[in-house]
Amino acid sequence: MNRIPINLTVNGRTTELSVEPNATLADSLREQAGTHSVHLGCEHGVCGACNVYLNGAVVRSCLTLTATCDGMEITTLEGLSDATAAALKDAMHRCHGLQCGFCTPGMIITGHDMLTRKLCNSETEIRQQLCGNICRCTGYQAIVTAIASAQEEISP
Amino acid sequence: MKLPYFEHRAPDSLEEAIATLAALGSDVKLLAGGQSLLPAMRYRLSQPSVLLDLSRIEDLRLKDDALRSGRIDAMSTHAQFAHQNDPTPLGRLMAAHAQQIAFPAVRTRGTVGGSVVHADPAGDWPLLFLALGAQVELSGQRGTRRMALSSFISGPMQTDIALDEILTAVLLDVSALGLTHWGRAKLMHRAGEYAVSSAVAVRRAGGEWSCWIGAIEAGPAPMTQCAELLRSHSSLKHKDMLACAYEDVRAVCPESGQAAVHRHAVNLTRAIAQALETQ
Amino acid sequence: MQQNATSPVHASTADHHGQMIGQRVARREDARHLAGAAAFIADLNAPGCLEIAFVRSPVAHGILKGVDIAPDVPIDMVRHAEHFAHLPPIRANLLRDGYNGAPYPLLATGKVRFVGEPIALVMAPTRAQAEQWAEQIVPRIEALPAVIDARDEWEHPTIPLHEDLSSNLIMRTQRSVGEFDHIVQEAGMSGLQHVTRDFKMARVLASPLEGRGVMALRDKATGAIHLHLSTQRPHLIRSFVAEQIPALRESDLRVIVPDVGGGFGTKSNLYPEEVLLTALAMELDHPVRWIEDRYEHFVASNHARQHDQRITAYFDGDGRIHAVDATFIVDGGAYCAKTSTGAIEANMAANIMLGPYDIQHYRYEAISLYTNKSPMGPYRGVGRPGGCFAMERIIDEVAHELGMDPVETRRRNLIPSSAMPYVTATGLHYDSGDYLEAVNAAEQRVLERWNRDAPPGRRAGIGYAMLVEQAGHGSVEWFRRGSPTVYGHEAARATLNGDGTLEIDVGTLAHGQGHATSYAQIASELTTLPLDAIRIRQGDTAATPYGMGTVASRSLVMGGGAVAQACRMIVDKARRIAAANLSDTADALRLENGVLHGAQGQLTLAEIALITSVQIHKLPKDIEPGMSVQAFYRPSVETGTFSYAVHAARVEVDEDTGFVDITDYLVVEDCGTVVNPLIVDGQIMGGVAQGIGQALYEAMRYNADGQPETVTFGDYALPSAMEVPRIDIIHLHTPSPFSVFGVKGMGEGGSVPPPAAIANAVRDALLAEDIAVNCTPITPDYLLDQILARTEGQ
Repeated sequence: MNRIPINLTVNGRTTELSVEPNATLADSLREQAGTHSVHLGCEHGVCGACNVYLNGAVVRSCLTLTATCDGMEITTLEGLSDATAAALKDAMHRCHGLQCGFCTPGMIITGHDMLTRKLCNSETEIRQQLCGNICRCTGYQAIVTAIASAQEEISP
Repeated sequence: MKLPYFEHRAPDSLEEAIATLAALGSDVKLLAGGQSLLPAMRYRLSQPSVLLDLSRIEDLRLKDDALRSGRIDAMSTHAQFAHQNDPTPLGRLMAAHAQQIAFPAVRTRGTVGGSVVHADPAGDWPLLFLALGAQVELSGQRGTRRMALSSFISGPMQTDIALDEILTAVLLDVSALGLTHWGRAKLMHRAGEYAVSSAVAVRRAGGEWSCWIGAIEAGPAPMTQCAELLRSHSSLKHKDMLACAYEDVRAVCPESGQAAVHRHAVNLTRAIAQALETQ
Repeated sequence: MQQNATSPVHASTADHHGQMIGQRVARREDARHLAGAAAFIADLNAPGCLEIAFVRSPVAHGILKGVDIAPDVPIDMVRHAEHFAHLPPIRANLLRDGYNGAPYPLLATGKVRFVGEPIALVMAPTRAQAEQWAEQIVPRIEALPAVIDARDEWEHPTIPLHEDLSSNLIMRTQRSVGEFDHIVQEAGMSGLQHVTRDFKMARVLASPLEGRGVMALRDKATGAIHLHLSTQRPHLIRSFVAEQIPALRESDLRVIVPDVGGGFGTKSNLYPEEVLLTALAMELDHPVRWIEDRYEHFVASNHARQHDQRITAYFDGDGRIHAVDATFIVDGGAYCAKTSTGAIEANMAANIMLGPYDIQHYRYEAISLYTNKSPMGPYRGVGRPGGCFAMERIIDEVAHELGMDPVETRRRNLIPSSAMPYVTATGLHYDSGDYLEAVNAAEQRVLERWNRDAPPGRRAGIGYAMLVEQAGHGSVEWFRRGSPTVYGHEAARATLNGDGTLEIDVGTLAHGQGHATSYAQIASELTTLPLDAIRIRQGDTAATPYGMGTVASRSLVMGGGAVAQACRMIVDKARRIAAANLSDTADALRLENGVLHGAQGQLTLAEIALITSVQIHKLPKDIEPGMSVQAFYRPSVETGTFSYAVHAARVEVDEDTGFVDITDYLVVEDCGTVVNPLIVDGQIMGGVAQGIGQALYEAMRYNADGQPETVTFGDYALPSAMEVPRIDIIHLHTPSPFSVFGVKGMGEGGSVPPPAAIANAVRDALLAEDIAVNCTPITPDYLLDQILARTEGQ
């Protein structure tokens, strides 16, 4: 298979990768960029464990071909360091929003996105925004509470 | 389930895409958002040897005046419609509809064109655009043509698209539409799933109604008696609307059990009720 | 008092808990995960590692005639059954009469018996390449009719799946307890009524978000095989794997468990892939890895909970249940997995069904069958969700027959707290519990906050279900069940370092339950060292004492017990050393913040540790050097602790669509002393969410040919944040009389009552039309069909 040269900026660092056409962003991030926080839970776009920021919008990295991402910016959990992220992580910790931790990176990306875009004005809205992230451990309540709590802290 | 091997081509222009498509024949699949295609490939339901990636073609991206011109370019994403604030009835309808497609992260990449060509009987955009009497624009080696969406979709997962053609836009006759009322209802058992029942009801400036349901085996179908009932009556009792809905639904899914027919009919009346409440 | 590892040292009967027990401590585990620095099995790196894809049977039942390997596939990268012919099949045993085990081959041999059964494996530099080659390895199978319906197979047996067996019966047990036969015979005369229901519960699977995974390699430094494994039972699996590979000794096998992304029981049994990769690693000079993808998880990881039940309750006009008759038919899948076997659910459901009710006359029949589906394994609660559904639904039916409030009917049948300790009809020894208090607390909260008002077109209903959960049981109970692997203890090794840090190595395996925090709280309580000075380690068989892993809600009772014991031993030794150095008596010293204070001075625990290692001149001659102790916990009462709960659900049913919304959910539970309420609440809520999945959404479906139809998260719907409501929790605290700090096991409990509570709520909502709610999942069409049939002609 012919490999394709792709420039990716991952968490602020630009690297040139050489990827196969069938490489997904999830696999490239895990195997070549070393960002193991990107998790594979289903690889068909339902569970959300692979959610990452691609040019500022959240995507399913398991359903994104790396070959379509040339020149783009990716942020994974490892690179999420703004005040919103700090507030959310702190809230997740205080509220016990993680148990096994496998869904957590995807949850934080999604949570960060909804906090940034101000889509968490009610518990119902938070749950709606969260419906694309599966958790099998927590029953979601602690995660919802964490996001609401972070929201309070960011814009009281 | 990793993706099978394929060759990736990413033309920069529509012309280049068409030429490539024509040259490579039937073993090519067009890659729009990939949100349906890639899962299908993972499960080996589809194994093309070439993916023709449309993401670099500027012409296919959503233009700013789409809701005024009525030209919905094929590579516009669900998210673009979900996030827009256009205050017209069409803008509100498309936002509400897009916001209920799958999940937020899927909406970022999923495309209108991809959804229309995929023609899943429970698909969201085909249902809406059929209710809006849309046309599709297709470009191929022999040039560009337009046809009614209702003719283009010929059955579940089946369209009239030729091997060398690319769907380039969905076209709405915005002024002729002149939407005054709109309503829609999508029943999902579990959030983000494909619809169990879905319905769209719109009223146009001339008083014509268009009512359609989706998520039935054959694909979206018009509810003509309901549309006529609404057109000809200024007020209706719920039970009469429901009875009419029942007739229309039964006519398009004769094989379905009573529960399904009831559900589709009630869901349709809910879409209609929402339309009647439009300010 | 004689000093030995198992007797409590300086423990009072009611261990004083002051600072740490009961604290909502945020978890020590979190930081790594929140930084994106966790390491699950797929994240581990081993140079030169080859990825493995399995060739799995596409057919549910058939004769395997061979495999055709396309010429493009490098033959040296392929392995099939012949390569592993020297390895015996897995044999799961149950030491009880009437159990019909059958060999479980590592790779299909001669026959295939379920879609997904591994037939061959391929190695490649990448998983994508391995899959590509695997697709070019085509098994030649002559298909046979598939056995798909357990009840059908029981009533009309067809061909045995296993040549050595004469039927597809895994096991059948039946027993009549008390005066059951007499009561039923005299029922007409004595004015007893009865109500019978047939309940069907669909097959489900635990579906942790991380699938299984195995990485095996030969460690160059030691020559040992390192088996990195996403498992819940590292030491047991190590023993089992070594047992399956004649050339491999336990001493040359090390199991190392990385972060585990959920288990819920599904990662507890021994699986063929684990043995195969270990054998491969012995043969090759490079590591091999297999990461289970979601499709594989659906077809190759253990399934659970498929019950077909017939339940009859005999009752009087006051709602008192005199006798219960229960038949459980459970679909065990194609093989008996080790250690649970396909009989585990039916046997357990029959054993625990009576729950909190004072019913001593009981007849049960527990039937488990082989079918051409993925083998069954334990899933959070195991047979309890089925048993609870049976009892809690039938007691509601009794109430409805009498026009009585189901809560009142329950009250009239509860075991009163004055009857504790109470031995059930099936021999369970309930240690303590005030069930009436829990029911009243639940009802009171419901009456205060819930009503049955609903918008037009929707019908509201409220339903209850109760649970009694046995956990932390010891050898007597495991032996009674016939398990050849007789559990009964747990182990912990505590080492106090010269810098005052405390390391505790445990034999349990947290996979989300927060042991690194709870155990540290126990250790902090007993040693007075701060939490951040305490490090809990698990999962590496070379670094932890032999333990039984984390299953059966056992860890806090058993593991916590061992941790406590080890800490007491450390403190006791420290006191003796300090006493000698401070010219004081051990008991007179005051331990506070890691410092032992005497009348004439003080010593920190760190200093004491140094005395035992590099300040030996200060160490009395009659005290051993070193500050590392190994402790074992064996419960003094082996019949287990019994936590209990009352669940209540409020639902609204859309009469026109059959959709069920759970608007409110309440849990009143008593798990004794709670070490960390944050963690306990998390376990309850997570369990309830899984129960909701079983109640309304999840079903692993097969067609008549044994083809699995639900192999994506699109078809098999796990509840999202929109399907799981807020869960209100009320805690009662009746400490166990004999566990450390009075804790009781509770990790599974949350998942047990929801199907019953929700079904009872739906039944309540639609009672006026007498809509049956006799199955899970309670699908919209199931309800809508009945609603429409009732309202026909109106």
